[in-house]
Amino acid sequence: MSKGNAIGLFFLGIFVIFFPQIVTDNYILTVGIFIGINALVAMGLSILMGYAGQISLGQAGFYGLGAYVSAILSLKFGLPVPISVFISILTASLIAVILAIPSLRLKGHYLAVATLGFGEIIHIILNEWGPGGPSGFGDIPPFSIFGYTLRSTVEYFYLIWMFIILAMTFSLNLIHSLTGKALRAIHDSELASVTLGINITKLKIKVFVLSSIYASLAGALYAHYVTFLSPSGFSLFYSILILMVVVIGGMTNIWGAIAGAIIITILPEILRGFKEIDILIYGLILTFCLLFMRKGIVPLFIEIWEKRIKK
Amino acid sequence: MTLFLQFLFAGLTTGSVYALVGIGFNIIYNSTSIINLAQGEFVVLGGLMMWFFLHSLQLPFSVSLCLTLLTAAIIGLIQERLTIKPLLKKGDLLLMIMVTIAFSILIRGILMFKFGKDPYTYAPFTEGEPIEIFGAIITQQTLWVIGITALCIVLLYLFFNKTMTGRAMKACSLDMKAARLMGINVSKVVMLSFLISAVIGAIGGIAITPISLMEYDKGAMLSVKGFCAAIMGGLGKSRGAVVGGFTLGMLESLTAGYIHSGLKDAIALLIMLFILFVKPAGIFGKTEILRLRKF
Amino acid sequence: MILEINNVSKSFGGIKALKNINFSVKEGEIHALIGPNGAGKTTLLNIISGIEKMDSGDIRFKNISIKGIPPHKRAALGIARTFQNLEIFGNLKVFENILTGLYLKNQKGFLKSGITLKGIDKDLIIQSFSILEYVNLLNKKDELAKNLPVGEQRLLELGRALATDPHLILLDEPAAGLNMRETKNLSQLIQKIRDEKAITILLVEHDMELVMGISDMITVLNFGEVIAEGEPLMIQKNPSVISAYLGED
Ligand SMILES: Nc1ncnc2c1ncn2[C@@H]1O[C@H](COP(=O)(O)OP(=O)(O)O)[C@@H](O)[C@H]1O
Ligand SMILES: [Mg+2]
Repeated sequence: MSKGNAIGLFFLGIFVIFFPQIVTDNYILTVGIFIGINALVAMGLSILMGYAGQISLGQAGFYGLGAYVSAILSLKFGLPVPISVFISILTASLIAVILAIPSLRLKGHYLAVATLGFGEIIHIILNEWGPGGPSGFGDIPPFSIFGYTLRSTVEYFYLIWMFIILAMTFSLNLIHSLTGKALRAIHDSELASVTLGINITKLKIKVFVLSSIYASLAGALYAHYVTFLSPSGFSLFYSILILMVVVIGGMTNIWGAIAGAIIITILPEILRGFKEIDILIYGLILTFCLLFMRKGIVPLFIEIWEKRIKK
Repeated sequence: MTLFLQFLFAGLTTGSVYALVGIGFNIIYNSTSIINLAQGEFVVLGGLMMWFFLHSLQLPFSVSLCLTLLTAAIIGLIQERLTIKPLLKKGDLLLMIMVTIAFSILIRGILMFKFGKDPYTYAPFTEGEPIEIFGAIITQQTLWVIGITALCIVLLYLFFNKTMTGRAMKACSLDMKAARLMGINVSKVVMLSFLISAVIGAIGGIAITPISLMEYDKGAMLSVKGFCAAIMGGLGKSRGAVVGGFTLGMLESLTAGYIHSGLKDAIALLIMLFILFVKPAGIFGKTEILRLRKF
Repeated sequence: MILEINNVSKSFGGIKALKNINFSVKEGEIHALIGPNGAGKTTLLNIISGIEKMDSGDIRFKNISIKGIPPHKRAALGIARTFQNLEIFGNLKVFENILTGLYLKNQKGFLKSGITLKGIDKDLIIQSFSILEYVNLLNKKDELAKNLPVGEQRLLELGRALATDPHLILLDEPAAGLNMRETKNLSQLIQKIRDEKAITILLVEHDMELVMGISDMITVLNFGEVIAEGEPLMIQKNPSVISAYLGED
C-alpha cells in the first residue's frame, strides 16, 4: 500500500470513529449506513471493472443472495447471525465461481448481458420463492455476536464502516501488489498479459468472486440492519445504480467507490420532493459522466491536486 | 388443443415485438459491434408517445402514428450523435455498453416524468369481431401485430438488398475497412442504423400497446428479450432474430400457460445464459462468431 | 534445437496462411524469419506463443511438444514475445509494465496479496529498474507507457519480455517505426541479449540491413511456405528469395 493510501485509510478510520460522536442525528447516521452498504458493493465492482476490465450488471444478484440467504438462515433456521452471514457469503461466492467460469470467457457486451441475466434470474427467484413473495418478509433478527445484540443506529454505523475499512485495506493491498499490476495489465491488453504468463482466466474469476463477496456481505448486513426484505431492492436497477457509483467515483481508483456512494446515496435524499424525476436525474448524471468526466471524481481530483503541487 | 393454439398465438404476438427489437440489435451491431441496451426503451417510447398523441392531443390515428415514428427517429438520432459518435472512436467496449445503459435510463426517466408509473393503452387499430381458428380466438390487433412485423421484415429486406443506402450499410457490416475504402460514409451508416432501429422498436411498441399495455419501466426486460432473440439466431443475422423472437415468444407463453406465469421472464434469461455459455453463435447460427470474441 | 516447427499448417477461412512449415531454431542463435507482407510470419509467432491454434503439425520447445499448452504456461516454460502491433499496457507506468513481466516468477497468491501490507518488494522494483536500464529506458521509468514514442514502446515490450526471464524471445518487427539510430541501437541490444543473457531469438523483421547484420540463420517465408533457409550470405544470393521480394514491390 502506498503512503498516500495508508494516510487516507488512517483518516477514514479516525473519521468513522468520531463522526457518530459529533453528528448524533439518527437520520444522518442512517444515510451514512446506506452509503457504507452501497460503497461496499461498489468496491467489488470497481476492482472488477477498473482493474480487471470486466463489467458486471449482476451485482444486485449477489447483494440479494447475501441478504436473503442470511435472513432466511437466521430467521427460519435459527442460526446465529454471524454464521448465517458467513454462509450467505459462501453461497454467493460459490455461485460466483459457477457463473464466472463460463461468463469470463465472454467479452464486453456478452459478459454484461450474461451477468444481467444472472441478476434478473435471482430477482425472479426472490419474487417467486422468497418468503412473502413480492411483498417480502420481516422479523429478521438483528446482528448479534457473542450474545451482544446491536440495536442502535450508531452500532450499525460502526459495524458497517468497520467492514468497509477491512475491505478497503484488503483491496488496496491487492491493488498495490504485483497481482494488482497483473490485473491492470489484463485491462489494457489480454493478449500481452497471457504471453507474459498471467493466467487471466483464473485472475478474473478470483476478482469476480471477490466482488461477489463484498456484495453479499453488504446484502447480509443490510438484511440484519433493516430487518425487513422485499425483492424490489434487488432488481437490475440496483446493479445499474452501483455501476453509476463506480463510474461517477472513478473506476480506476478504489476510493471512487466511497465518493460515488456518497453522491448516489445522498442524491435521492435531496430529491425527496421530486420523486418523479429521480430516474431522469440519474440518467443525466450517468450520461454526463460518461461523456465529459470519464475518469470520475476521485482520479480527477488527484490530477488537479498533482498539477497544483507541480506548480 | 384449443388452449395450446391460444397460447401459440399469444406467443406469436409478443414474439413479434421481440423479433423487432432483435432486428434493431442486429442492425446496430452490424454497423458498430455495439449492443445497444437502450433498444427496448424505444418500444416503450413508441407505445407511450402514441397514446400521448392519440389521447392527450386528440390527434387522428395517422397523424399520431407519423409523429410517434418521427419522435422515435429523432431520439434515435440524438442517441447516436450525442452519446455514440463522440465515444465510438475510442474503441472502448466497456464504455460503449455503459453509455447505452445511461441513455436507456435517460429515456426511462423522461417517460416516467411525463407519464408516471401507470400503464397505458389505447383502442385496437381496427374494431371488429375476433377470428376463430380451431376454437382459438385471435383478436384483430393480434393480426395487426403479426402483419406489421412481417411487413417490417419485408421492407427491411428490400432496403438492405435493393437500395444503394441499404447495400452500403450491408457492405459496412461485412467489412468496415473495405467499405470505407470504397467511399462509403461510415459515420452516416452508423447514424442510419440507430435511426432505423429506433423506428422499428417504436413500431413494435405502437402495435403491441393495445394488447399488452405499456408502462415506463418495461424497456429493460424488452431489451433483454430482444437481445435473447438476436443471439438465438446468431448475433447480426436478421432472419435469425425473427426466428429467435417468435420461438422465444411462444416458449414464454407456453411456460406462462402450462407451468407458472411468474416464470415467463425467467425463460428468456435461461435461454440467453444457455446460449452465451454453451453456444455463443446462437442456436440457429453457425460458429463463425466465435472467432470474433477470442480475445 | 530449442524450437522445432514440424509440419505446421493454419488457414483462416479460405486463406491458407501457413502450409506445412518446417524449420528449427538452434539454441543461442539469432534466427531471422523474413518474407513479404502477408507471408504468415505473425501467424507463426502467434502459434508458437499459443495465442492462436494451429490446424495441424507439432511444435517442440526444448524437446517437449507444446501443442495444446495454453499461452500463459508457454510463457512459464520460457517463451516470451513482442508484438508487431504494439500491446503495451498504456495506462501503467513504464516500470510497472516491467513489473507485469516479473509477475510470472515472483507472484504471490491472491489472498496473500490482499493481506500483505507492504506492497511490492523493493527488490522487484530495483530489478525492474535494472531491466529498464538494460533497454535504455530508465529515464522514462515513471511515465505512462502510452505517452512514449513508438520506438521506446518497442523497447518497453522487449524489456517486459526480458522480465519473464525467458529462454526464447519472439520479436515481431521490432524495428518497425524506428529511425536509423534507433534501429542501430536495437540491433546492438538484440545481440547483447543473446550474448550476455544467452537467450535465443527468433526475429521477424523487414529491415534487411538489421537482419543480415545480426542473424546466424534465416528462414524465408512466402505465401505461407518456406522458400529458403540458410546463412545471411546465402539467402542474399538465393534467386527465389530475390524474386519473392521483387514481386512484392
Ligand atoms: N485473424 C485472421 N483472420 C483472417 N485472416 C488472417 C488472420 N490473421 C492473419 N490472416 C491472414 O493470414 C495471412 C498471413 O498474415 P500474417 O501472419 O499477419 O503475415 P505477416 O506477418 O507475414 O505479414 C494474411 O493473408 C492475412 O490476411
Ligand atoms: Mg506480421
